[in-house]
Amino acid sequence: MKTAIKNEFLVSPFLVFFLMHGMQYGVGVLGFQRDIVKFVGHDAWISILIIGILVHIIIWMMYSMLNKDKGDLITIHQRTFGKWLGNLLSLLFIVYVLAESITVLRSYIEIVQVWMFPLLKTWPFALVFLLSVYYVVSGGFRIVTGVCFLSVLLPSYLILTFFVPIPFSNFRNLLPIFDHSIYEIAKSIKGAAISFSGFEYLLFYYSFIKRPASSQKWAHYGNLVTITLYLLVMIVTLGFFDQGYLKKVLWPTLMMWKIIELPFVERFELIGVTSWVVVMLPIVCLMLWSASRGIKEMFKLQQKKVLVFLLLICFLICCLLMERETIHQYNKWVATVGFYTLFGYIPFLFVCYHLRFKVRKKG
Amino acid sequence: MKKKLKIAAVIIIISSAYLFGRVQRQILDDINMTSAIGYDYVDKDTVKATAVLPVYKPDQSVGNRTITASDELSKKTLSKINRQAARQVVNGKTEVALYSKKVAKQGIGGLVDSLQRDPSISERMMIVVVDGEANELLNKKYGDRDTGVYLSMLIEQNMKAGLVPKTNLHQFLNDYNSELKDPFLPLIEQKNEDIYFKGIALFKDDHYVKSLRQDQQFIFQALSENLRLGTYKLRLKNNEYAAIENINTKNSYRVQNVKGIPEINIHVKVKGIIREYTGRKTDEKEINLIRKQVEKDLEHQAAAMIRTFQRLKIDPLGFGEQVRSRTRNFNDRKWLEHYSDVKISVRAKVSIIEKGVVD
Repeated sequence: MKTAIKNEFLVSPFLVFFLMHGMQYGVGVLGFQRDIVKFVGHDAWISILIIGILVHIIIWMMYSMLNKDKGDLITIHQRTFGKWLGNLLSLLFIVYVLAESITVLRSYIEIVQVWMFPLLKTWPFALVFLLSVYYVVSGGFRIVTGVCFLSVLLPSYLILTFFVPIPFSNFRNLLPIFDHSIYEIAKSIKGAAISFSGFEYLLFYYSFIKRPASSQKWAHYGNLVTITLYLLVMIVTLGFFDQGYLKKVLWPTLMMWKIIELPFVERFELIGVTSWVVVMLPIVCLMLWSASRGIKEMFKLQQKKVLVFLLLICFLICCLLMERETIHQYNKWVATVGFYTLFGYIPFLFVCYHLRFKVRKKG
Repeated sequence: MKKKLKIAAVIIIISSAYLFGRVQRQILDDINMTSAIGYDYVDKDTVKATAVLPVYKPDQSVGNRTITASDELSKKTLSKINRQAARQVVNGKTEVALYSKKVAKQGIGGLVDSLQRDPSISERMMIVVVDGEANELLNKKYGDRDTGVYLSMLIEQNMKAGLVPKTNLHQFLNDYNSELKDPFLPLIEQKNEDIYFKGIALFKDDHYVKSLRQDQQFIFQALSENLRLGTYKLRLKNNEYAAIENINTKNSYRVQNVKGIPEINIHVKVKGIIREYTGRKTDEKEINLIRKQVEKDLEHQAAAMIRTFQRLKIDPLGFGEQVRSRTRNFNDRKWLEHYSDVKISVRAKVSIIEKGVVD
């Protein structure tokens, strides 16, 4: 069932690094600390390390399936569960991808509304943003990869800003190490794992990579950089905030930017939030590209038409989520589904897929 | 036909986004930015807010205009202030917030909330407590700047010189929200034409409880941070005075018996240079005498100060935090219960590294 993709549409293996890291490093960075700290307090950095290792294992699992299959999620599903059940599962996965893209976009718009323009309406922003998503995605996967590449390089200067709060920090806050039970750490992993999502799109773009098997190391490097950055942000956050205060703050990373003082700009968050558009764009692009590509594969529809339909859904739901509490509830719901999909369903699929082959060989 | 439709759709989308996607404009020349805001006590539910608006005059000098309004909520006072201003008043550039002692006694948690909730307020903003009326202090003009900028320059200069403990909004919020630590703020007073630092205002949660006098301030700072540029004056037994400057301090905490009632030993290393001495000669014997005297004084002051903290059940130096970071399964409530019985001792070690260019 392999659908041969022309050589001119493929991307180099090393670009997987940018696809992997760019997708994981998104809106989560601005406020992921809360979900971990709620459970494990000053031991939060341990949870991040564990999540990082888990993600490495799942990347390995995905490659092990994809290298054997030489296809994507759709073909894996069809081969493991048969055509009907396989397609149904793919469809559910695509619904999750779409739900996540809405979370990402709406969370970002919320940040713009809270931190910059309280009077900004949701729909004009979503409209303009999704229009540019259409423009990028309709250009094909190579364009999406290009935007992803830029989104990692252009805002990389923001890493420097995470060092500014260090003089105001007290790293005694991190002690004593391992002060929480395994159960609490497990709970925090469940709460925060969604911030590290983005690696699962490999299941969709695998067949667009030249010599795909050789790209595995780049995927692992990408994840490694993501984890390092998250770890850096987390440790600085723990030093900068007292536990009691940190539990109150909604976006700790943005709060840390408030301490930055530059002679030419009073409020650095405005620059930070604005720069974050560049980070957000390829994430939404690749999500919608994956969703539309999957539907195209399954139902043999034209990808652009599917894309317009998906963008419309995305736009409508974005506008319907109005208040902080509804957005929060929706995000929580997507996070739970996401956790089980990424850390439960993908390993399950991995086991099923390999079992299926073993059984077939015998038979 | 299809192409025309597409172009029309794009034009409609862009123009509607342009029309409806607008936010309010704030042009620098058309707004007034408050540089300082002060709160005074009116009655139990009401505060009086005074906003300082710098006025930039055509001859390039800066004037000072203050507007006063009172209400139950501090954000509400801003809108009341707006009613008296010809240009929209915004608070993004507020550098100093002042609370009068009376307001601070009532608790400033509610007032600070409006600062912490507002994304346009800097985490570096200074907060100070005023002995007297904040309104009176702000109504005067000091130096060649407007009062807000003058105050922030004054505070910053003193913090850099190590004369005032380093605090800002972020530190205050950290301490205020902490279960273990209590906040402290600089205390200022207006006298004649000047503003000067009177000491440190100590808080329990968000209530002002006590102020530290100037002479206890040095040891307080030495225990709360590592000073870079401190100064210390001492009076010797033979009625001579000595001033030690460029003091470097380093504190190290040791905690024993973390399972029961902990014991805290604090070692403070003080290194300084003698800058002034009214005695005759600074030979080794004299210097040793000064050194011993400083050690004794510091330990004495520290013991008295810590006793006061324990009596008032406040912890501005973060002893609880020190114990917590050394204890597994730390119990906040148990610590707070036993806090006044905890043995805390301070040892000072002074070394005088130079004595200037004369003997």
